[in-house]
Amino acid sequence: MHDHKECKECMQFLALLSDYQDGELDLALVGKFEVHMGDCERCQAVVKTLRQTIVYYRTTRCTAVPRDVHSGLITALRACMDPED
Amino acid sequence: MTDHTNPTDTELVARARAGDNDAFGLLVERHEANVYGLCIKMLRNPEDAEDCLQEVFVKAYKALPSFREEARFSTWIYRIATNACLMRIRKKKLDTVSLDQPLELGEAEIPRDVADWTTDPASMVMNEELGGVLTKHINALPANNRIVFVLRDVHGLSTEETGDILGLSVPAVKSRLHRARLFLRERLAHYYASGGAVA
Ligand SMILES: [Zn+2]
Repeated sequence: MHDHKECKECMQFLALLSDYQDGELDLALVGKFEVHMGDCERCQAVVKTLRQTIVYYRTTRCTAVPRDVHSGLITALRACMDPED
Repeated sequence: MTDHTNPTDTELVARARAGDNDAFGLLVERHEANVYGLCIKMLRNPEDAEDCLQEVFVKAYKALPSFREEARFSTWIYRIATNACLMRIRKKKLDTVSLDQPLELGEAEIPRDVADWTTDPASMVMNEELGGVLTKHINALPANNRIVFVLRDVHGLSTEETGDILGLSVPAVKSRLHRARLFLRERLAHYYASGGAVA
């Protein structure tokens, strides 16, 4: 196994990792990197663990506001909708 | 075609602008979780997030007359929310010194922990401990990178919409996101490498 820091191809790949992840890389580059990854376990692992990191964070998205927080918000809004109340 | 049982945001905004407060209430219901979620991730504590949530919707209500019809309400409310969060963070910096020292983003530019923990089933279970680890590390990101990561990867917005909300170019969004992602990947890899997820 080679060292990331020593490998120009790894470094080139890592710089474009985010674009690769988002499917925004040039097809020619994608092909080049997939060939590289075929031989480079380190880059493969970085890609997979990055993808999973994003998946984990996606699950932390808030999908509902706590009931008391919602009530507090409605109260604050009523106060500004009818200031004389 | 107008579906009266499920009006679009645009229809609700038009009604709210004409003085229909119930229409605004429906917009609140649709978007409050996004705003609250953003505030929690940015401000790191529930009290500040609740306060900021109220500020955002009160501001939006008052600013309805200046809302441009061609804009998307979701983008607009995110913009108000990000501005409110960043303003609070800036203010807070004056009186609080972060206890968890902000980590150098540069440390993650070259991945060091490169074991593939995704092949270990034990590490693939989302639980309270992992949730805490994720929170701790996202909190360690500088606000400028954190906001981009939250909008893009947690809330799933596009690069363009994120740039629009933050007033950043597409390359600027991409570079902040790239650094945030590498940083969080490295932190999580380190957690697994040092024996995390062992029940
Ligand atoms: Zn490589």
